Amino acid sequence: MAKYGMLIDPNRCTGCNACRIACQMQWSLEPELNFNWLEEHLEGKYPNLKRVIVPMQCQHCDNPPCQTVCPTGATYKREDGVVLIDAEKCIGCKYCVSACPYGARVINAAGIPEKCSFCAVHVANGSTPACVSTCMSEVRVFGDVSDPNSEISRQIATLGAVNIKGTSMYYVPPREMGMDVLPPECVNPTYLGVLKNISQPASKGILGLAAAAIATGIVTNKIIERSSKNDETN
Amino acid sequence: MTKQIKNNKILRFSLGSRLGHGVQAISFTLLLITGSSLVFKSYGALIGPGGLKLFSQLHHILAYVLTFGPILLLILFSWDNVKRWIYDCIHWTESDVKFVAAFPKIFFGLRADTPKQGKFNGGEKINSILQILGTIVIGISGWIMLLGLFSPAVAGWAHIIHSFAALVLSGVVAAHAYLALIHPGSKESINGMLSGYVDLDWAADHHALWVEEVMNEAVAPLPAPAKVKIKAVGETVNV
Repeated sequence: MAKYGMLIDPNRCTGCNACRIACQMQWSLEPELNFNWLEEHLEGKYPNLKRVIVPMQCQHCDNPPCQTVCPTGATYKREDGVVLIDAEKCIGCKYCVSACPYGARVINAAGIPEKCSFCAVHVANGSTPACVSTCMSEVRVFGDVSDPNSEISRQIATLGAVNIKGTSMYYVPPREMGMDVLPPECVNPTYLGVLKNISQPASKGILGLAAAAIATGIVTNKIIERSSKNDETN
Repeated sequence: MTKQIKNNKILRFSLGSRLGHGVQAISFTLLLITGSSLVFKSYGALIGPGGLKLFSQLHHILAYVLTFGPILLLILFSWDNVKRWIYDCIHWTESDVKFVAAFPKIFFGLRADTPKQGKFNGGEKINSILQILGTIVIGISGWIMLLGLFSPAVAGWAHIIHSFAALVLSGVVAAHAYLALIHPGSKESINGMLSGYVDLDWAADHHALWVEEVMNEAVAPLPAPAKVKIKAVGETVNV
């Protein structure tokens, strides 16, 4: 089974935005919707400036928080690592938008939070993702990271790229700046932790206690009513 | 006797109050049924994505009913009663505190001695405060999510607060419904929310201070003659 991943080398990126626009055209996105975007980092004072442009997108997490929070299973992860959305199952609750650690979800005109799919349908037909094939500087490599002889695996080794922990993405360390300009490792946001571990168990517990108290009250009232009737007849 | 007391029954809630309460009760219950499908996974799985989609649409329509229905009805048709209700909820007496202390016993049907209570006892005051505050919290957090004008982080916290407050308030509502419909000592009170009238003897037993107040109003002396001018000492003339 293939395990898809993407390698990004920020050192090669010129900031031309062709990847963002090619993606928009591939998926007929409204001008204000992007599945990928560039983050520019500047350091220092003129004329001693450092600059790194980091291409960002859905990181196709190993345990996607957006999937954990989805109430219908509309968001799912394929065995090959690609995180996809089944629009038929999506009810538009937008919980995934709040859960995504990378802000990669954008809401389309139909109210469905969409994102990068690694161009899965086109990859299945033998082509490469639009952002990869359009890039003149060859910033991006897409492929099967489980195959040691694949282009992406060889490039990861040659360039010394690092895996963003918990995701399908590999970034080459920026020459000019620290690793902190790269996307952080995938951790569940505070929102998801509080919802799943604190607020929902606590509120369900309180509701359960109320139900138990009511059930007990119905029984004890019946018993007391009956015994007081017996007292009267005796 | 005024029309507040007739046929050994006493008027507890005006039509406006009953309508406001009814709209609150029905819309809250429907919002709970539609909304909790996103909280309980097995319930959501049972109705499937199609059912969830329908429920979320219904939930967003019903949001308008719960947000605007009760408050408009209460302000337009029962404002004086609402003012008195809120005043009572804020002003706590010793007998309210004693009632709350005895409430667990009462809830389970055990004998408990409580001092005379006003129109609303301590338990009803706590319920009222929780319903008012809970509805406001649920409403604000719900509209933050529904309007979609806020950042994903804010919407996330609104989601946490919305579902927590809604489930806790549902527990309060369930206990409230049990006392009003099933509990042998207090189920007479449901009539106050249906016809408006409750049994006078029951009211005298459970809300003695309130019944005394209504009785005193009923037998209060007629207002003095409109104007009395004192022309001179010892001489009065009606105008």
